[in-house]
Amino acid sequence: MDGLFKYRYFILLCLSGVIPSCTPDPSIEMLENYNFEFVSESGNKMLAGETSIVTIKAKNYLNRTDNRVKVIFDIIRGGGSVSEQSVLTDSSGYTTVSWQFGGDSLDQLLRASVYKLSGQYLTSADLVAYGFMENEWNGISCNPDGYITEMIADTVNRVTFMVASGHIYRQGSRYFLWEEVVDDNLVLPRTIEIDRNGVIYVSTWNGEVVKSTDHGESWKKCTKPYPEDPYYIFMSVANDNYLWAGKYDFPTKFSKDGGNTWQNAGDIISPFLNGNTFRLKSGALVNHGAKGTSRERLNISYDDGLTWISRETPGYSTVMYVNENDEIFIGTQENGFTIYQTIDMGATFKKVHSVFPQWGTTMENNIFTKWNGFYYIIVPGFGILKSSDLIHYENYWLNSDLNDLFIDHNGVLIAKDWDYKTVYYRKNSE
Amino acid sequence: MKQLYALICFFIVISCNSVSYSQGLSAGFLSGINFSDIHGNYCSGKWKYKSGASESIFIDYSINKVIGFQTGVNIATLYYEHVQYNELPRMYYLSPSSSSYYIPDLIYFRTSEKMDFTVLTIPAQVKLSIPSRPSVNLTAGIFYSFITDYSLNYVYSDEPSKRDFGWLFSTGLSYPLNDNMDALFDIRYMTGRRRFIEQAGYKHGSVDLRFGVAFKGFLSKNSDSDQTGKNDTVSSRISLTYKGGINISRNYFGDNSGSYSFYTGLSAGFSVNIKLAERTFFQTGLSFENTGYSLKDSSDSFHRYHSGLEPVYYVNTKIGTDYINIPAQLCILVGKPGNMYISTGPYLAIKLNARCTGEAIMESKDQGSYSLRKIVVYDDLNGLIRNNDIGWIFGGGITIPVFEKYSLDLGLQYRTGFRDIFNESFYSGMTPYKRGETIIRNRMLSFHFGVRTPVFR
Repeated sequence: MDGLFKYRYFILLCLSGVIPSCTPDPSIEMLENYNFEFVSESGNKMLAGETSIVTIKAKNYLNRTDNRVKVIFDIIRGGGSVSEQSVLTDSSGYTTVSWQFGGDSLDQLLRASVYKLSGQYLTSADLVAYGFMENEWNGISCNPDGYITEMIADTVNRVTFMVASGHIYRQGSRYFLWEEVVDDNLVLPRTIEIDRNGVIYVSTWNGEVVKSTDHGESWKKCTKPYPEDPYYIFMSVANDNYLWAGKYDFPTKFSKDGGNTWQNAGDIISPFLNGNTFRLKSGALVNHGAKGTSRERLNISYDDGLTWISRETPGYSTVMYVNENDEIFIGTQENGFTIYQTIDMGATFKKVHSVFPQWGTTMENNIFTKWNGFYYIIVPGFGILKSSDLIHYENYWLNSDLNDLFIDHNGVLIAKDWDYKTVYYRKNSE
Repeated sequence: MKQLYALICFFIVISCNSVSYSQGLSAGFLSGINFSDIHGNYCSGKWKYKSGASESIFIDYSINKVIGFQTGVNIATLYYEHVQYNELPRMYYLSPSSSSYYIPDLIYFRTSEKMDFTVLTIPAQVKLSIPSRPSVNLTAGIFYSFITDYSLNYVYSDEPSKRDFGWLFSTGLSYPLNDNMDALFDIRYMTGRRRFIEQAGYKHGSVDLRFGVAFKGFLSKNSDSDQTGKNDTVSSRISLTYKGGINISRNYFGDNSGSYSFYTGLSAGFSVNIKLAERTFFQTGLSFENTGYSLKDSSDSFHRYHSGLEPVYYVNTKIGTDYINIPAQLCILVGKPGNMYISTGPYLAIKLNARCTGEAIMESKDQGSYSLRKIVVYDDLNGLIRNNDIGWIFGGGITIPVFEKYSLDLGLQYRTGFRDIFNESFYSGMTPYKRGETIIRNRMLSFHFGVRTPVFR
């Protein structure tokens, strides 16, 4: 005890140093750290059977001078092939292979499994791509085409434009590639139309009408149909190149001179325009629509749109189409969706076809589309009907998720899903 | 600080003029170091045992050779430092071939929370002395303290509380240097009861190791020379055993118990044996016990097995809890020579600290990335473990007389707690059964070796 007491300060000094340091502090030490990425952008779109060059890059964060790893490629989806299945990266971490897209599905998935040179598995990286197949519906959810709302196709000048998410896009070198059209006059595009002369019209969310007479190269503003109102309008181009504009609580107007001047179309014409005005060979104008709930929805004008007479249509009709023989076809909500034909300017109607969709349609849809002698009729909630004469129909594609249908200048059918983000492409063989 | 100096002067004056006081009055000083031992509801990171100065002056009033009272004043500086797991965000890597920049290797750093307090403490303790040579002193009591100075570097907006009260316990030895002076060695454990940072729930605490001197000769001409024990006779009713040993804990059972394994710890302390009948003793005492369990498996937690779909870590840790153990056993001598004994009885264990230490490996395989980290684990688990434990002890041993008055004590003891050691308030009051987790109770087999010494009348 004497000794202990004698050396007490030495003992305390030792204890004050030893005790705090006898346990390690918490810490984290990185032992290995790798990153692997495809240099190629994910979501690449090509045709099935085409070949893409794929480069993968490996990074060893803790030894930057040696990034060598072993990579084994596997085709997970799509059924394609790679030029080499097992490769080593160079010391910089790069390796490149060729990836041929398969024809099993639109989705193509290539997986790179990465191993250390010792054989220890590290991780994997996936590369997603899309291989579009002919004669198949290729459904894809992507930007911008997943959000398409309007489209026009100019088969003469071989251009197609669409409106998606408030922007105009021009179809690119492939039917599934789109390039944004940027022009100071194109502010918040809403709808797009084309006349028989190839003049393209765009209406905007602020009520402007903008047109291009050079197939989308340049754009200029037309006279604003409702200059006192800053909000959107409904716009349609008839088969006589008349430009129609409508707006709630305003009179419907039309322009005979490509949007330079506008005149009122009378009180009974619905402002809700959807490609529903046609010039007949007789010179009469026919229009579909009514203000309120009136069933007199077939409007006829014999004085170039100044005055109109209305006739009742069957089955709460929603849409109208006039074929090259001036036969008028009315789409109605009767029994789901029923098409009527009239050849006597609405005096009598003949039921020609009826289907039962899972949900009701609206007039916003582009119901009748014609290509290469055939009509394609989208029935939202049902699918697509095909007809050569609008009298006889076949079910072309039953898909209750469909909501709209467009066709590009090459005849590629482009259908839109009701989820507003999925689009289906179908290119039929020549 | 003026108050402090006034108090110190007061005690010095008392010490120097205490001749006129009663025979049971003594005074002295203790000087040493404290190791900070903060308490709170934390369960991650490490509070370092940082050392600081601790100085005391005291006065004792002894009613008799066994019981007395002690007070005084103590000034200590407590240094707290918390070290957490931290890692810098990953720096963007530039390939040497594509850039002339030199990008250093990833750097990992620790952030720490630091505080220090100068504390003036006034204790009031009951003192129990066991008159052996050296004599053993046990004290328990309360304290009231004032923060006289502080500095801090922490994330909380609260100002620390300037007042505190709490419990203190000490054990020590006193050895007579001459008739008037004893040399002292003392280990003191203090724990505050008031949160000094409300947001964080922190409470002050420290363990003090101190040496000192008690003056008693000048207090009275008829000083307590008998307390030195020189002229005492050995008591046949009471003996004292200083002992130490090794514990093997197996604290786990139930679901997933395969993930756990044994834990080996130390114990040290003493026991007092009081003779009740010819072959029957009552045994109590005080011992420091280190118990726990080991965890070695894939788990989402460092301190107990928990696994989701894919466990985050591969864990190899030890979860240890330090207790002060106070048994109350009945001890019966068996065999003809009477040097073998069996004992049983309840115990109360007061938690001092709990921690999880070891290593964990974290392997991360995300899409396109792979990392492997080694984590040095040190988590203070004070908030997770109950403050005390009660249970039952079964034991036995053999005593071997050596020299004249001493004997060696070899014993084996099994101790089992009655409750899960984890604080259920951390699990919304759900029992381990309901959580489907392993039951963790203190169950320990200990082997001890001791020296039984006589106690003087």
